Amino acid sequence: MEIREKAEILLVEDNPNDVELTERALKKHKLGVRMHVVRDGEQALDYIFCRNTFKDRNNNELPKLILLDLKLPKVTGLEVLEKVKSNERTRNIPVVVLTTSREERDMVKSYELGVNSYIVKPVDYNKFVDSVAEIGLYWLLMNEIPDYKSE
Amino acid sequence: MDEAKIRRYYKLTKKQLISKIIELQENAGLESEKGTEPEYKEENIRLIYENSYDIIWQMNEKLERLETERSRILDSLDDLFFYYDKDLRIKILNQAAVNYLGHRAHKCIGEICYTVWREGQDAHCWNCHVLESLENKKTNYREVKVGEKIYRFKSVPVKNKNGGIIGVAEFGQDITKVREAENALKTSERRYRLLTETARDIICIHGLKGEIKYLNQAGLNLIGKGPHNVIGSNVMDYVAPSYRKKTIARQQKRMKDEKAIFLYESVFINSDGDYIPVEVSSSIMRSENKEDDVLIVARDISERKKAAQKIEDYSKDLEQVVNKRTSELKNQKEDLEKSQLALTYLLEDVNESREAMNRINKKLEEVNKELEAFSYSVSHDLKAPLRAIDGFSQILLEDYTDKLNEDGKRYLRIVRENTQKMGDLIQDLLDFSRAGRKKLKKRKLDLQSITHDVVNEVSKETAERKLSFDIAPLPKVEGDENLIRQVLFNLISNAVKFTRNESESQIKIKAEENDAYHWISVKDNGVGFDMKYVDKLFNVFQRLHTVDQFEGTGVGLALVKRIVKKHGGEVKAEAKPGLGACFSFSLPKTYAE
Repeated sequence: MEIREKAEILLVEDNPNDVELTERALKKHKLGVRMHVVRDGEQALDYIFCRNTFKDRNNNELPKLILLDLKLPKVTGLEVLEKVKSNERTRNIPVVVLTTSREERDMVKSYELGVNSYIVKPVDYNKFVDSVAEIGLYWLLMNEIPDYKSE
Repeated sequence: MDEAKIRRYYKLTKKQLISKIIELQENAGLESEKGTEPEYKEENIRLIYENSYDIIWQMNEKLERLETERSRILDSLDDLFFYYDKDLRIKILNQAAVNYLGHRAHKCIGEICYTVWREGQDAHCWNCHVLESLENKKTNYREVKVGEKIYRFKSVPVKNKNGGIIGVAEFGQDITKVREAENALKTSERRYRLLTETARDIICIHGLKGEIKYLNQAGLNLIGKGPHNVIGSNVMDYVAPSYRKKTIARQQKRMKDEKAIFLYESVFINSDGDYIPVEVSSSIMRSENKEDDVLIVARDISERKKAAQKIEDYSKDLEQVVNKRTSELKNQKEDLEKSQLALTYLLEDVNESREAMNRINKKLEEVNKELEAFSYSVSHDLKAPLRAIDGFSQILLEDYTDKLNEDGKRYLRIVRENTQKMGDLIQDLLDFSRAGRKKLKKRKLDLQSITHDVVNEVSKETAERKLSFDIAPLPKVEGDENLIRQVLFNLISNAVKFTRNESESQIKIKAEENDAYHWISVKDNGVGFDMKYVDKLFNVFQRLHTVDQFEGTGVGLALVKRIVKKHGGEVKAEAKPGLGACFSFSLPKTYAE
């Protein structure tokens, strides 16, 4: 499918175990997506805005979905969220916070900054797989967003 | 000598001549025939002429002189003068009388008096005093008002040598001015009498020896005696004994300086023997022909004295009150100063305490921050490995299922179960810790609807169980909705959990209230517990059952207690082993319906 081939997810996650579990969850539901993983907030911003190590990346190829952990080295998830949602070009990229924390203030802050979903990663792996699959299905297959490449 | 010659010679009218003859006859002792007028007879004339020429001549001269003299004297009088004969004919009248009548004198002479009175003057004639004098031979008086004027007439009978009445002399005096003066005097006297009689002050006139000559009504009232008892009595009788010496001394001094008016205070005695304070002014009353008198004007000043005394008493009282109040105020001021000092010390203490408190608060804030950071990391860093353990255990079960025997698979399942428990425990602990730190978002809550929600939620999770809920009407309270929901959830889910072994779970939820609190209780028919452990019940990680019997982390009731305490309420529990338990909590009635 055309959409699936083009679909690219940016996973911002510092815990390699979680990265592996997330990839596995997506694979398990046969969502054929290209997933790019960055390990901290700084790298996430570099990737999204094509800076530093990612300066050669095609500026027009924006990720279709960003899965964002909040507790990250260097630049936190909330800061990344703020930068993405305050930029004209990247504002429409769906951002789903995927975090272990159930802190209310994080949840409130995220929605204030314009997060599209806020998911608390369950300890139960089966539930985790279900959650990731639902996110992928919804944001990649069901949701339509305006295309900026034409501008 | 003929009549005409004689008349010419003597310048006499015929009438005058005849009167002269009569006169002469009388003077000569020749009585004319009584009641008849002497006739003019030649022989009589001759007789007179011959025998008495010289006498007549001399007499005439004398007579003329006398008449002139008389006329002058009479005319010089301001008073009226008439002389009438027995027939009331006017024989003589002076100039004043002529003026009074308004006729010329010759028109009046010889006329009967009332024929010459002009209009208004005839009042003269009523009860004529002149006639009366003729009859009673006495002097009579009569006052006559003629126009604006008042005349006083006096008629005096004129007798001859033998005492026979020959005529009446009348004197008339214009007394208009005198009467006016008299009237003015009377009016004046009446006025002054009224003045003194109606005066409120005492007015007394007494002689130099003290004998009272006059005392006005105010004075009589004061003394309490009638005028007949007072007039003539001595003024000293009415002066208080202690004042008499002074009064006498003043009297002597007064005699030396007659013009002075003395002003002084004295005390009188009335007939009851009461002493009456008075203010007196006295002076000498000069009299032209009589002995001088003393005028006393006195005023009863009892009321004034009383008022003055009252004022004095008041001022004394006032002074006492002021003194008392002043000393009270002074004491109060001292107390106040002491209080202020104490307050200052207190303030210093309070400030110190506040500083200490601030330091503690700051420390507390720091601790709280650390605690928050800690729980934040716990939620992240402790749960993430658990997820990994669980995840990879699952992967092992999925990807290597053919390489694991049943024991291996069971062990992995145990690993996963414990991971799950660990996850729950961490979550409960985080909730518990958060409940202590979080600020309450209080608002009006309907416990009824919240309870129904919770019951529905709990029932869903245990659809296979037979549950019977009895929910009485529950009040509206004030609190943090999420936390109160948590309390109800914990208590109700506990009740469901611990009635697991009953054929039917019977759970009663009801509310009671007292003045200050609502008490909400959740009662079940479950396993209950021994009351000797009741104190441990609400402590964190305290469990009365083994995990095999009833699962749980031991945090639920501790969390309930913490939330209720934070709302200002209390928790309590009652139970008997095997006979169910009743957990209740209170919430202050801060929210008034």
